[in-house]
Amino acid sequence: MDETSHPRYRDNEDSRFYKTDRLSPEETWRALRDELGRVLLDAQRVFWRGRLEMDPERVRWWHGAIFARHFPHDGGRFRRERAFFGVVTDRGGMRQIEGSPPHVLRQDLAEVCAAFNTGTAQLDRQGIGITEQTRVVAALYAGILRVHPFADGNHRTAFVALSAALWSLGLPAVEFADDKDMTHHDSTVAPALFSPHGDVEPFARLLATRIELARKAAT
Amino acid sequence: MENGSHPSNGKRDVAQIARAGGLVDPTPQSIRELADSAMLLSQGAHRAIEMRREADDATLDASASAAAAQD
Repeated sequence: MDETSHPRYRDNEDSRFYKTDRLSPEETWRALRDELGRVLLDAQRVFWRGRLEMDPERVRWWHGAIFARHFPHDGGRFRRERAFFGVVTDRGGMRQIEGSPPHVLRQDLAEVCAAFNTGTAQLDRQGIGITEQTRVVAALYAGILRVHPFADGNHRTAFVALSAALWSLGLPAVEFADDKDMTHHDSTVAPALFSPHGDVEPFARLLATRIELARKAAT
Repeated sequence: MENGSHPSNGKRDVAQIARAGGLVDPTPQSIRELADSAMLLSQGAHRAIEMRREADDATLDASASAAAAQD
């Protein structure tokens, strides 16, 4: 029996990953959840305290690993059309953001990845603070979300990058499970999405706080 | 706890997961829960919270119907 996912969960009807030809929307949700779990399991085995060299192909590969088995046409394919996505504002409203134009999204993603690689290389020194580490990770996560390289599934792919990046730095992955966690996540990521030079500090601080609190609770 | 979440003392050198209640080791179950929360998070907090509420309400309704049927 499935002990975690609620049997009624299903993706948004507008999503390309709402349902496969052979599965119901609810079965599709659980099948993709299982694929995402496999990718995360692999990521923690491969990248724990290891070098994570980011590039657009890795991001594309993760998307394919999550989605291509059930959606071979869309999994692992960069989009070729414009994309818009909603971001919460600090007044509780919603603002539409456009992802990178299709003809430059690979280049924009390459810049996000290069900034992460440079940033992590500069962390290789003693006495580095946790927020300095989460700042680099937060910029990678927000960068993938902002470029929005895929028609759908950007968030799930970015979450794999987020978790792999944290593990590669020897930090725990962060789970946003309850209502308050998810609301904090959205409100702190939003400022980083409004422009290519958006503010990653709120999300970097949230990651650092969540890690420190979990460590404290564990001792 | 072969498949369950392993509470940690915070000093283990393994890839862990930070939750509200502390750190857990990566097991098939804890990774599945991480994936499940990421699936919900991908819907946006507003929709995710709504989905969870509707699912919980449906479960309660089903339980109440089952209990009434046994009366």
